[in-house]
Amino acid sequence: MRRRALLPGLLAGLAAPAAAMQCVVPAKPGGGFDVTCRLAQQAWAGGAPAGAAGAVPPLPLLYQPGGIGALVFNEVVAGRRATARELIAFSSGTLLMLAQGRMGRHALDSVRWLASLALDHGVVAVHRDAPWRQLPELLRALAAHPAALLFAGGGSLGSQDWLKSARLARAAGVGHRAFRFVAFEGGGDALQALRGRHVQVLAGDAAELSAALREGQPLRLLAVLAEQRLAGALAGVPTAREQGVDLVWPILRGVYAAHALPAPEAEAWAARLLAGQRLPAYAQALAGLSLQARPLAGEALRRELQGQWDGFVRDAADFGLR
Amino acid sequence: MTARPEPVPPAAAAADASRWTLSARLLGLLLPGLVLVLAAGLWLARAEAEQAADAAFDRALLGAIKSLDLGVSTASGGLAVEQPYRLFEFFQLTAASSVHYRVATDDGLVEIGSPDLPEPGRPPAPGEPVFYDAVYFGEAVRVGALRRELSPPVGGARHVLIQVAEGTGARERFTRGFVRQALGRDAAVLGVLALAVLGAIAWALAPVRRLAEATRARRSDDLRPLQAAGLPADLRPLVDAVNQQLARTEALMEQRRQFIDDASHQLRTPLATLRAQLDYARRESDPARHAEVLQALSQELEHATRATAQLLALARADAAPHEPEPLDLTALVRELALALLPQARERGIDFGVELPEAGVPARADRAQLREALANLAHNALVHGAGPVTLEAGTDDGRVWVGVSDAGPGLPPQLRAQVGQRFAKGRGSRGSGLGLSIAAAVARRHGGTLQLDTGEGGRGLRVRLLWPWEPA
Repeated sequence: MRRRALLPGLLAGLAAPAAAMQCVVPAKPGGGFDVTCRLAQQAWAGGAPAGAAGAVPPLPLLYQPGGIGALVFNEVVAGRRATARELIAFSSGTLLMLAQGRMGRHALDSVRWLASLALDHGVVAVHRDAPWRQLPELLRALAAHPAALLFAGGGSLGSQDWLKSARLARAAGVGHRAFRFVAFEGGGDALQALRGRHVQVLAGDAAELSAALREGQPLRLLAVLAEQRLAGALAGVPTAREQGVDLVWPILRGVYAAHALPAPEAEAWAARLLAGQRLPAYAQALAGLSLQARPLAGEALRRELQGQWDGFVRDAADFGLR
Repeated sequence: MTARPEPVPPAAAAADASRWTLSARLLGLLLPGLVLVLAAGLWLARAEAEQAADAAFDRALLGAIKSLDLGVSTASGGLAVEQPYRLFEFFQLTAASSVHYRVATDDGLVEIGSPDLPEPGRPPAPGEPVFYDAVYFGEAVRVGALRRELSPPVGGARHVLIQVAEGTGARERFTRGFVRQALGRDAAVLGVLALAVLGAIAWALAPVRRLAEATRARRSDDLRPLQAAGLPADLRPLVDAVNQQLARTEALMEQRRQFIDDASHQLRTPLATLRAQLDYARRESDPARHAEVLQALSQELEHATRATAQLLALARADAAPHEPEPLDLTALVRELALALLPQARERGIDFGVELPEAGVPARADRAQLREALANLAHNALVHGAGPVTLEAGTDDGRVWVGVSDAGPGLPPQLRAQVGQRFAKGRGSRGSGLGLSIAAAVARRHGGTLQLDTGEGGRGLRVRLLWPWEPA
C-alpha cells in the first residue's frame, strides 16, 4: 500500500519541481475563465493521487487579461510563455475566435487541448430594476429603439457574446449591424457595467451569472439558451425556446496547454483532471454553477472541438464576419 | 428762348423724375451692402464659434482620453482597461451628450468598448491626439483618438489606440446660441444704421428743403439771385447755375421791357400826328388842301413804317441769335452801296465807296452788319451832306465798316449820348434809332462804335470796329 501510494507521489513531485503549476485566467477576475480555472483547481485537487491530496499545494490562479484570451493564446503558440507548466482556461468562445482567425492564423492543433471541465449555456440577463420581465418584452423594446439598448459582452465583434446578442437582435427583427454592442474584457467587466446600468442587456453564460447571483448582484435572468432548463440556482429561468425564441447556445469549458508540455505529462494531467470530475463534490460544484458535466479529453475532445469549429465557420459566413 | 420764366424747380421735384428719393437711393445701396457685410461677418462668426467650440470640447475629450489611458494597465502581462463609466458620468454631465469609447491594440487582438466606433483615417502618430467628426449609430459624433506605445509590448501589440467619442449635440447648441446672439446683434446694428442713415439724409437735405421753400415763397417777378450763404459747398454749383439762369432771364425781361418802351415811344408820336392830320383834313373842304394833307399823311406813314422796321431791327440786333460767318466786307459794302445809290441820286448827293483792293475778310453776322451799315448810311444821306462815302478796312488787329459824310456832324451834347435810343439832333425827323442799332450790332460782335470828325475837320465819320478773327 505504501509503495503504491508513494509512486504517484514521487511522480507528482518529479512533475512539479520548483517551477510552480498554475492555471491562467486570460481575463480579469469574475468571468467565465475565472470559473473555469476554479473548476480546474477543484478537479486538479480531487484527481490528485490518493493519499497525496493533503500534500498537493492548491493550483494558483494567474489573471492575464487581453483580447478575451487572445494575448495569452498567441504567447502560448509562439512559445513566449515563461513556463509550459500551466493550464490555460478556454471556452467555446476561444475556439470561435480561433475559427474566425481573430487570434491570428492558427490551426486547431496549435495548442494541446487537455480536458473539458463543464458544459455551460448562454444566459440573457438584465438589471434587476429593468422594465423587461420576459425575453419577448425585451425583444419588442429592441425592435422599437435599436439604438437605445446597449448589449454588453466579453469580446468584440464576432465573439460568442456578440453572436448571442446578434442572434437575439435577429430574433427581434433588427439587423446585426443595427444593434449596439459594447465589448468588455470578459464577463466580469460586462457584469460590472450592467450593475452600473451603463449597459442594458448582458448576453453572458450560466457559470458567471449564477456565481454573480449567488454573490447577490442585482440581476434578472430572462432566459437560458439551453435545450432544457438548467439545474440548480437557474432552475427557475425559462429557456428561450419556451418563450418562442429558437436560440440554444452551449459553451464547452476546459483547459489547454502548450505543445512545449511533454506528451506524457500532458496525458497525466488530462487523466488527473478527468478523475477529479468524477467526485461527487465536483458534481455538486457544477450544479451550484448551473453547469452540466461533460468530461472529455484526448481524441473525444478533439472531435468535439472540430465539430464546434466547423459550426463557427458557418456562423461567421452567416453574419458576414471575415 | 430756352429759359422758362417760372422759378427754378426745387431739388426734390427734380429727384422725383426718377421716382426715387435720395433716402431710398442711399438705403437701397447701403442696406444690401451692409446685409452682405454682416452676413459675411456672421458666417465668419459661426466658423469661429465652431472652432472655439471644437477647441474647448476637444480639450474635454482629450481629458477623458487621458483618464481612460491611465486605466489601461499592462501590469499583469496582459492588457486590462479600468471601466471608464464613473469618469464618463462626470464627462457626460458637462458634455450633455452620449459618450462612447474604444480601446484597441494594433494587432486587433484586444478591442474593448464600442467595437464599431469609426477609426481615424490613418493611424495617428504615437502620443499625438487627433480629433475628427464621424457618425456613430446615426448620431453625429466628435471622436478624439490617441495612439500610444505599449511598453513593454503586450503579445504582438506595440501600440494601443484609445478613442473617446461624444455626440455633437452640446457643441452644436453652443454654436447655435452663439450665432443666434450674433444674428440679433447684427439685426440691431442694421436697424440702427438704417435709422441713422435716414436721419443723416434728412439733416443733410435740410438746406435743400430750406432753399426750395425760400424759392417757392418768392414773388413771381423776383429775379434776384438766390442766397448761396449758409448752403453746403456741394450745392453752390447748383445755386450758381440757377443764378446764371436768373440773370439771363432778367436780361431778357429787360430787353422786352425796353422793346415795349421803344415801341410805345416810337409809335405813339406818328399815330398822334396822323390823327391830327386826318382831323384837319376832315374839317377842311378845300380839295387843294386835301391833296396837301394826303401828301403829308403819306410822308408821315413812311416815317412810321421806317421807324417800325428800325424798331424790329433793333430788337433783332439785341435778341436774335448771333450767327457770324466768314465774309468779305468789301463785297458787303459794294452790294449795299448799289442798293442805296437810287436814294442818293434822288437827293442829289455825291455817293461812293472807298475800299482796299485786296478785300477785307472777316467773320460777322451778315444780316446784322448790313442792317447796321444801312442805318448809318441812311443817317448820312438824310441828315448829313455829300459827299457820302461807305468804307471798310483793317486797323490794328480789328476790322471795320463805316460811313463818312461832310455834313454838320453831331452836336457835342449828342455825341455823349451816341448809342442811346431816341437820341437825335434837334430838328431831326429820324427815329433816333440808327446809331442805337449800329451800337447794338457792334456790341454783339464784341466791338465798338466809333465816332470821329470827317476828313478836313468837317462832317462825321462813324465806324463799327470789332476784333478780327481768322475765318
